[in-house]
Amino acid sequence: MNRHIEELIKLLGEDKVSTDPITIKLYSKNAVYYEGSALAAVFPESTVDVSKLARYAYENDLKIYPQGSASEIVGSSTPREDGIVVNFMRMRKIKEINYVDSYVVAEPGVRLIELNNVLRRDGYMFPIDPASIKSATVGGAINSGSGGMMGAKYGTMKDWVLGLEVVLPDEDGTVLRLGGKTTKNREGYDLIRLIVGSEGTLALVTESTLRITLAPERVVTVAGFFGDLEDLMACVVEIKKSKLDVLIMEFVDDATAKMTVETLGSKVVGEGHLLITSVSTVDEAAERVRDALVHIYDEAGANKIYSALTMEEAEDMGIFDIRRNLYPASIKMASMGLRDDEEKPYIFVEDISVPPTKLVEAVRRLRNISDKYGFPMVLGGHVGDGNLHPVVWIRESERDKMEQFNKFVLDIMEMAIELGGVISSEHGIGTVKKDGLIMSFRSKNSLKALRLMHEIKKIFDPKNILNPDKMLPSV
Amino acid sequence: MSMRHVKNKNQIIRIIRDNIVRRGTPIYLSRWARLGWIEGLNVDGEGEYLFFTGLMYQMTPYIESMVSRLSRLNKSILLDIGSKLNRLIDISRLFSKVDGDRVRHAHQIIRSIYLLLVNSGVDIYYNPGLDVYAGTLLHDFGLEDDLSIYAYKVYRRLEEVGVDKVVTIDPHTTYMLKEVYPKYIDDYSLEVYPYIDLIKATNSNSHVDNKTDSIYVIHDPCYYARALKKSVIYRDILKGYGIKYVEPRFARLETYCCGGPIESLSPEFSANIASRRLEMLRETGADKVIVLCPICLANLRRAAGHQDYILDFSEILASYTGDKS
Amino acid sequence: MDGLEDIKRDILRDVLKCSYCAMCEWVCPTIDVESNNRIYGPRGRINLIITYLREGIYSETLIESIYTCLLCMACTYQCPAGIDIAEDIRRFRMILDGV
Repeated sequence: MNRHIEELIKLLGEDKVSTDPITIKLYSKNAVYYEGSALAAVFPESTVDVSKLARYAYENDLKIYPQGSASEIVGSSTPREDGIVVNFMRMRKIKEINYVDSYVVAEPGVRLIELNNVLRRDGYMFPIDPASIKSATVGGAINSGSGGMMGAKYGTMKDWVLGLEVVLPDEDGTVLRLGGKTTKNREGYDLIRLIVGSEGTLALVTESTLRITLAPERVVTVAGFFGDLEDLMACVVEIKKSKLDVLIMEFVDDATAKMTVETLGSKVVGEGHLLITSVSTVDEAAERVRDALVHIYDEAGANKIYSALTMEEAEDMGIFDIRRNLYPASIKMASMGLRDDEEKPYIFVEDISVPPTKLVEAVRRLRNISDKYGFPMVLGGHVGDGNLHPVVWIRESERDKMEQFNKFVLDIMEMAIELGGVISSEHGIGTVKKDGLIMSFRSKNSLKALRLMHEIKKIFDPKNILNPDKMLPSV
Repeated sequence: MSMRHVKNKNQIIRIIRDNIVRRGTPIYLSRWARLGWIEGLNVDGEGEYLFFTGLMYQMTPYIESMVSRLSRLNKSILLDIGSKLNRLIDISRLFSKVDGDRVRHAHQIIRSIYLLLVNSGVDIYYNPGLDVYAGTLLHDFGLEDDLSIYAYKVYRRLEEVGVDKVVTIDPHTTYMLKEVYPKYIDDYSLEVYPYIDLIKATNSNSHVDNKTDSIYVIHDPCYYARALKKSVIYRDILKGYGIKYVEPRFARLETYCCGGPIESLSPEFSANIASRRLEMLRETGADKVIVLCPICLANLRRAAGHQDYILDFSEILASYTGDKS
Repeated sequence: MDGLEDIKRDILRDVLKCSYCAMCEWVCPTIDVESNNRIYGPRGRINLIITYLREGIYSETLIESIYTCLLCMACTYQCPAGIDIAEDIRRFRMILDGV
């Protein structure tokens, strides 16, 4: 047995360290088919455990690969054989809920859906709602800087973390408490927002204090199909000018909507691009808001309009089905007509953002890129904040096309940069988007920013043992 | 990683398999346990729907007794011998000392269901020779060959005497007869109705003065809530009766299994799951728990440690209609 | 009735749709009670099935994982890829039965 394993078992106890190869395998994958390996899978149960682990790793130059549910799709959570995978999902207590001061204190292994199920019972919510809300953990969402459907209104994870307890990979396994329980905090450099979105490269998050907010009293939803993308965007502009409190604004392009309906079925059907808008309001104003929205859709030329006065009604009607089914539809289509039944489809969800006014242009250019390379594409996204998720796939047997595929993805990122956008909005960089990161900073003539990032990494993690080679490209 | 929960898998599966195939039930069941529910009832021998208990409620007291003994029995060598001996003699009889009250409780539940159907105007009849175990465990263990023979026998017996409609009383039997059997039997034409589909959604005997102000919490059974999509039906019946209920965490499509299905292979694990579920049901503050499945009844009751907290849907309705026997 | 080889192929075809997204785990009672240990969750079970069927990796962990499944189908209704998770696990027991 590796000497580290014996020491770790002594340090933490046998039940917190697994060397079973099958178990390690299950902790070495992520949701985008990356598969690593590790010396052991370790399951800390407390900050003290994590601190001991960090100190040991520092002293012995052992690499640490932290992870939550590993549902990320950029490679930030997968380990390598030179280290241990540290899984935080045994730390899953919601330690405090304070409605008066509007915060919760949660351990990193709490799933976002679990947090929300507790808060919703009392009329509150934590508004970061990534598509992976059922699997994403608090710790994973912090490290990934997650966003979601309500991003246009509520921003992303960086806007909701008030305080963090972190462990540093140093000689003491130092435990730091950053921030606090208040919304206002001007105590020096903002280290919290440095750690949010750092993909586990700077520190190990062991506890977080998160802002919470009231759940909307009423959510009114309208969906409509537009033959012309310009009409859809005109509708978006009108909704934005109408001073409605937009919570969700989602888009699916015509080809995707059609394919989704054909492959998975839908109660909501129509011709063209789909726009779904949800507005937060109060019970008394629900019908007025619905009428106003329907009017805007109608004026903008929507050919088929659906509306729901409550979220439950919207769910019953299946208003969100087409948007939510982007991913399953991709899987289904990628699996269609496979030569070999046992062949696995690999699906990649892109994550660019452009300023919302550039969406029409972005969609047009995305389609051109897709045509140019001949890879099929499914397209949807968050119109409210300009975040697009083109979904593309390749089959196991098509590995020879991988180079072409990478070029295809680079073209997509390049297009986003040209339109004044970003190459990663809410999924992160991991190992797959490092080239994009360089491309983006180079376009702004700011490559030095990446060198600064490397320096910051060195200060936090002098021995480079924490999630090494993730996120930061060498420059 | 070693086997922490699954113990004596091969021996236990062998015993259960042999029992079902040779003796018709996974565990020994006395004649009284099987048929005692009929006592004092005026049961018809002919009618439109065959009343099909599937013997699940009757078996629960035996399963409880066997599970508690199994959890203590760690000598797999004994089980090894036992599992071979079981071909000759039914070793589950050795575990057949059961709590008489539990058997009477099962009888009361079956009677309640029978009377609810009768009072809803459903034309039911009973034939003890046709009322058999549906083979759920053969299915769960993936014993496909045994199941296909078993299911065929059960079905042919019903077909031979011209049974075309049955009313079932638990989700597992319903699922087997309605969803699983058709996959194994060509030209399967049995119509299967769970009793909750047939009983009236209003209290037919509203003059009965029910003073109870109890608030219940619903524990959805997996197979009614998911595979058979029935979670609305029994809620509507409760509403129709004016019975107050609350929802726990993990309800309807997301209901949290009681742990029962793995009680034979992993009794302790099964009990831990039941305790966890019970915590969720208790945190609602409800006075009592409504279950609609004999496995949930047995497993949650075992975790609760006493009988009065976990009640079958049918007994609650019966207490409102005055059909309690 | 299909032969074992057909069943294996059917199961494999279905489980290969798993992208490891973990949306199935939050409703699973066994992974919940086992402090989120993936061996006791649907994603873990599906992927152990894949490693067995593709790479022939058999172990006590596999048995522990597959036979602690409640077949309660909670996961099946969560899977965005539409994998018939509980049924695949149940049918996989047919294959293990002979091992």
